[in-house]
Amino acid sequence: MVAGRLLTLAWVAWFAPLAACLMITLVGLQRRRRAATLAVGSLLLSFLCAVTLWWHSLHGAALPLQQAFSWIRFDGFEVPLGILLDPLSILMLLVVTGVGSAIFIYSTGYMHDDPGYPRYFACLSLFAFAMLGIVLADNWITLFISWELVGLASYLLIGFWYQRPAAADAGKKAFMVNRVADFGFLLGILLLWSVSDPLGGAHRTFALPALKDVIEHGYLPQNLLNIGALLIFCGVLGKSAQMPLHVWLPDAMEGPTPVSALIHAATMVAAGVYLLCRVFFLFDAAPIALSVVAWVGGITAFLAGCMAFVQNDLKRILAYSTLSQLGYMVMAAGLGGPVAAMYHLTTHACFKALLFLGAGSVIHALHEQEIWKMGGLLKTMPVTGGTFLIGAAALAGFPGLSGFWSKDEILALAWHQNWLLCIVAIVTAGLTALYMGRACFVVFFGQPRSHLPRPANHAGRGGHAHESPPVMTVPLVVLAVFTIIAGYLGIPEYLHQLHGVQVGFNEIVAVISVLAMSTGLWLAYQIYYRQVMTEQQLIQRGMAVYQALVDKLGFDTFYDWLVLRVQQTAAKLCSLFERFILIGTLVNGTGWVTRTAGGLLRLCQTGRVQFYVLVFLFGMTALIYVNVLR
Amino acid sequence: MNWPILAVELALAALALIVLALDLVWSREQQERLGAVTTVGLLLILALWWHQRGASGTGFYGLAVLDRFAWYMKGLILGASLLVVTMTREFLRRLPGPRGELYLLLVLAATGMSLLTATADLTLLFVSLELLTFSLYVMTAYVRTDARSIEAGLKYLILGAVASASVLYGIAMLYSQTGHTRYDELTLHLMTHPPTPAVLLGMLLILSGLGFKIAMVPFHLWVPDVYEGAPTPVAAFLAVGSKTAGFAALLRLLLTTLQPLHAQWTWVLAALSGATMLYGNLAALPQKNIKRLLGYSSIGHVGYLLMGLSSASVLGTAGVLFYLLAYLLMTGAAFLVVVAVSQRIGSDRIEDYAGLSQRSPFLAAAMFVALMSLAGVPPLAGFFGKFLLILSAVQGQLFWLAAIGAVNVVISLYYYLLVIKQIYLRPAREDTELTVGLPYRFVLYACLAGILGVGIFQRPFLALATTAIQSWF
Repeated sequence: MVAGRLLTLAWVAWFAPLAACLMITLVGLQRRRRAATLAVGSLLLSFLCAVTLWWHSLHGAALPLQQAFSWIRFDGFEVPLGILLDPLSILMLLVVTGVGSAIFIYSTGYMHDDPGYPRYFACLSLFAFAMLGIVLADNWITLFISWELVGLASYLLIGFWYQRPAAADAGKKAFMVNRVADFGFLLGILLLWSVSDPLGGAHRTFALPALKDVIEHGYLPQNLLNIGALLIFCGVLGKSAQMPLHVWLPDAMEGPTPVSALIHAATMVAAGVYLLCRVFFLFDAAPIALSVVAWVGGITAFLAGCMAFVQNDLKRILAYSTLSQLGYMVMAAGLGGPVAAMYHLTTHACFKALLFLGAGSVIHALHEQEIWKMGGLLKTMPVTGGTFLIGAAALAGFPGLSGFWSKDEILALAWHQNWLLCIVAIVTAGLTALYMGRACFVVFFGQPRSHLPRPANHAGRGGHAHESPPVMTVPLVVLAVFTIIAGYLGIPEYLHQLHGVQVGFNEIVAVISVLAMSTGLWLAYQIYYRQVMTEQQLIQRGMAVYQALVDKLGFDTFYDWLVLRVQQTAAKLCSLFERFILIGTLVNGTGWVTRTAGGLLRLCQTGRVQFYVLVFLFGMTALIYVNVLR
Repeated sequence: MNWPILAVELALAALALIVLALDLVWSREQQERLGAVTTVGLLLILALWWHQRGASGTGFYGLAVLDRFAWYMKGLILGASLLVVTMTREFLRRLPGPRGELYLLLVLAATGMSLLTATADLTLLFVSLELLTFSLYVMTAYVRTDARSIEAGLKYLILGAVASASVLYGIAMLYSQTGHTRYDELTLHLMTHPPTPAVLLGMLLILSGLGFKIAMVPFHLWVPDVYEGAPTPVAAFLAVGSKTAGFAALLRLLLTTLQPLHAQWTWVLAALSGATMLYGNLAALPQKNIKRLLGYSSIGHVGYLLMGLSSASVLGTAGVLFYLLAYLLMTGAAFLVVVAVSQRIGSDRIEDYAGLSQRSPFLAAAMFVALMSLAGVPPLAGFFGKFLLILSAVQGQLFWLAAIGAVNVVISLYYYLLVIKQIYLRPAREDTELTVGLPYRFVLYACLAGILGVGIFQRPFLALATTAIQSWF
């Protein structure tokens, strides 16, 4: 196919969700069915475009393709609006639209009884549009605008049930943490823009390929690249929820479960990792920044894994597991392997969406999120339970499933590059198996624990949990299939154009990781299935550690202190300054002067024609005097 | 003769004749359809105008010219006329008595405006100016039963006569010194001869007369009184149509014919630009009447436009053209809302806009967008226009003028926000819903889409404006 056609397809894929969002908000906000149809239809269209693009990229389309329009242009300053198609963006396009479609379809069932149904789909479409903008952007500005739109859409969706204070707070928290991070990101963009013309002036550019050329020709000093890369990494810290800016992600569970799935699997948190891979040429040239990235990722992976172990809320367990897996991806990118990072991102998108949708299905059936009130669900909800177990096994790195292959790639990379991080990663792999095993054994095996009366509308089902409708289970099955086969689709080979270190499958590492996983799984089996000891006993043994983990290692306390004490005091001081000096003197003073001037001018407006003519003639005479006679 | 170069004007004149004939022939009930006839006629002329894009030529013994600049300005004038016809149809619905004349006068005024953009001779300048002004006198005084309308018409007539006399006297001065009235011959003469005081005098007299048309300080005093008294659609026509035509004449005259004298006029315009901005925006602050407020704000906008003109650069002039487009859309939208509201609540007082957001969310939102764009809030069209004009002042080393421009953005935001506060924060005194007919709604939607579209995708419009004036530099 001609290059132009492919680009058109990409534009369509990008803007179809926006069209749906606009159509829903402008005309269809009151109509429920139409909103869902528009949103799902538009994303399926995007998915179709993505599949077509992928097929052509496999069959000899010349990549990369770039198309940019100049949006605003003056001398020496140009804001472009453009897209870049290469294997990386096409793969990500597939992930976002594919997983997104499954979640959209699932949502039509999950949100069926919600009064805000059309608003939900409008926000969802906006989210997809923003995310696709990040994926396709060929320049910093398009990327940053989309990046911020993702922040906005996540705010709208996490706080979707804004009547609940917890949800509203969670939305605000997500938005503000991301804003803090994006400040650094924006500084980084401006810094890199200001140096993007090696001749120093007229041809500065926001375009990524141009920046890549400049960096690869070695025009920029390494210190500068390190600073720029670290500033860009600030943005990644926020979006991909890395330590120490991870605090918003667990709270984001307040949103509807499909939204959690969307945020965790295909959009938002994936954006940070994708950005790392997209501008890997920058990090590749900045070794200090790269090692910071690797360590931040490793530490996040380990600590989040620990915290996941102490959670009692099914969705929160998954949330911390996302943090941990994102840590893996960031670490992989930091170790110089964007391919491994993208590989894990892709497989993770499949099984994490699957896990969240499965959790949503459970919550939908039970109206309950705490794992200790569930049990034996595999019998009552076979499809949900079966697919959830597949997803959990993939997450834990069960041999043969997609998570195993991609995690092995990362471990092998760490083995190759940095033994210390490799140990951290392997321990984390064991932890992953442990906490996922805990969740699975408690929720899906054993006896039902709940003695709560079921809501009235479930009474007809004999007081038991029931399987969700097909509109929810079919996406689960589809995602489960991809969770199994995603390791065999040749994703690393597809991305071979990406730079960085690539190490193939490593048998030794594979054996070690399987051992770590088995250990974790065995422990979980002993404690939670055979119940050789109860959770309470376990807690008593390691009280101090347990408490620290439950307190989220003090991150939230620290931020509370920062905001409530430090920032609040500063804000009060500023407020005093503003009230008495700025408003009291300057603003009111200026306002008074301005209004008085306005009042005086009003006096000129006598309404008498004679006066008007006089002013006219006088003005004319004055003009002539100063110009001619003077 | 080269008739095609004046095709738009001829078509407008023909439309005026058709309206006149139908007005005579049709019965009172049939006359209801005159508005539709005028709309359709204007749309056809708009198609003709579009067909003429890229065409150029001179004709009528050098009296008239068609170039990209004239074409661009004619588009604005046709757009303004369409908006005003829409408002007029709404306005006449509540007005007893004959209705045909208003459409006739409107089309005649549009003919004069259009002719003004094509003028390449001082005599034609005067004739088209008078055609336009005379129609507007009558239109201003159109509501014979309303004393305010009569008073406004009379004021406009007397002051307009002074301005016309000034222009005519200036033309005579220039002719007496150079022996030419055609622009190209005048330019040649002025380039080869040093300016005499009488030439400067002629230039300043014409400038004063045209300054009256565009409401430049100190020739602006008529604006608030006339805007308030005139029927609202006529006030809108004065604001968008007449001002655009005045600027068309001024731009061509100053940047082509009087270009050799630019050392004499740029600083005058720069000084007057600052004064106009300050006057318009400061005097708008204490206003209680929405039409007066828009009148003062229109004076403020003239100040911005003069800023671009006084820099006499490609960027500044293109900025003026771009801003005129933005101004047409946003002032048009604001006046559309004012007409719709005053037809329904019978008041133009700003305090009666209280709670408009509950009575008609659509009108409230439209007013919000229009006023925000007038204030220059991104990403709306007004923002980018102001940005270009201030940028041109900076590039022309007129830093003090740019500073005044920036300060005025803040002042104007204040009084626009006062209106928005009434609309959105004050409770409504009545809760009857205000509904708007579909065609009217459609026109308003088009304006809003234009404000957003021109603001976000400014490049093609800026390119259009730049090509329109490029040959002058």
